[in-house]
Amino acid sequence: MIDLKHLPNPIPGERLVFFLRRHPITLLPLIVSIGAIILIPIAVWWYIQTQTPEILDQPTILTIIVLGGSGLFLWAWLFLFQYFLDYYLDMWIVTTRRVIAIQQIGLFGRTVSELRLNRIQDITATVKGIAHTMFDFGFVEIQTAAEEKRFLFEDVSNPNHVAKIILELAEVDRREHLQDAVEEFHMPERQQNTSEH
Amino acid sequence: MFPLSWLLIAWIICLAFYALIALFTLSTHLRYGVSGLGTYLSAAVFTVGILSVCAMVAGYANHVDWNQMADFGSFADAIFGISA
Repeated sequence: MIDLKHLPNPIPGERLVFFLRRHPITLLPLIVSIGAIILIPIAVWWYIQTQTPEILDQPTILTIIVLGGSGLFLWAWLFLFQYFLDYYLDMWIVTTRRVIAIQQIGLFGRTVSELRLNRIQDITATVKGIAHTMFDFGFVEIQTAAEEKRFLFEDVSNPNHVAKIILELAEVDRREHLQDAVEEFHMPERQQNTSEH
Repeated sequence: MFPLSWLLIAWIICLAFYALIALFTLSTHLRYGVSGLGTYLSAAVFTVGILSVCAMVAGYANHVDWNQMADFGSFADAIFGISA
């Protein structure tokens, strides 16, 4: 399990800032499907009892309905739980030092990426669409010096705020790294002033 | 026509296969989920859902005479109005 208080490969002085998942509205298809797999058997049972009750007098048919219906429900339940896992196990963790992106791909695939804040060059927040605008969720893309975009936060809440905070954290982290480098190489003051201009 | 118990055996075999996949799904969830109430609660809901259905089917199966023969002719007649 992932413990948010003890992240893997901890960096000294690191603090958790954001723990993000996709917006809960993206679970709407799942909720509707659960409602359907609960209501449809009840509706079918009610229809049979009211319209063709003589079917239930035959033990063969009743047994097939019970076994078949329970089998369908169990497989639908499993499928929906796997859909939920796809939402629940995708997460983005932002600390004062790094960004960790964890993506679950089906049951047998998992990608964990880590990016140091001082390597961030550009961040883009996108809110596009009626539902996205109404519920304020969207994409955050993080660009590094590499050619490929490595990080994409999908359907997270309040993406503009998230992008703004990550930019600020990246700026602070870069400044701290610069100070560390200056202290490490004992640069004289005159050289420091020249480099700042 | 065949013994009704064949249906039950087929159902149990499918259930065994299902249990393997469900266990693997659950272990993935508990292994990679964030430690907290959400993970344990969702795992519990999933498990309780499965066990409830199995318990209901077991309760029904106790009252069925599995030695009787399954008659699909009357089934087709009842559902589709087709005479054997």
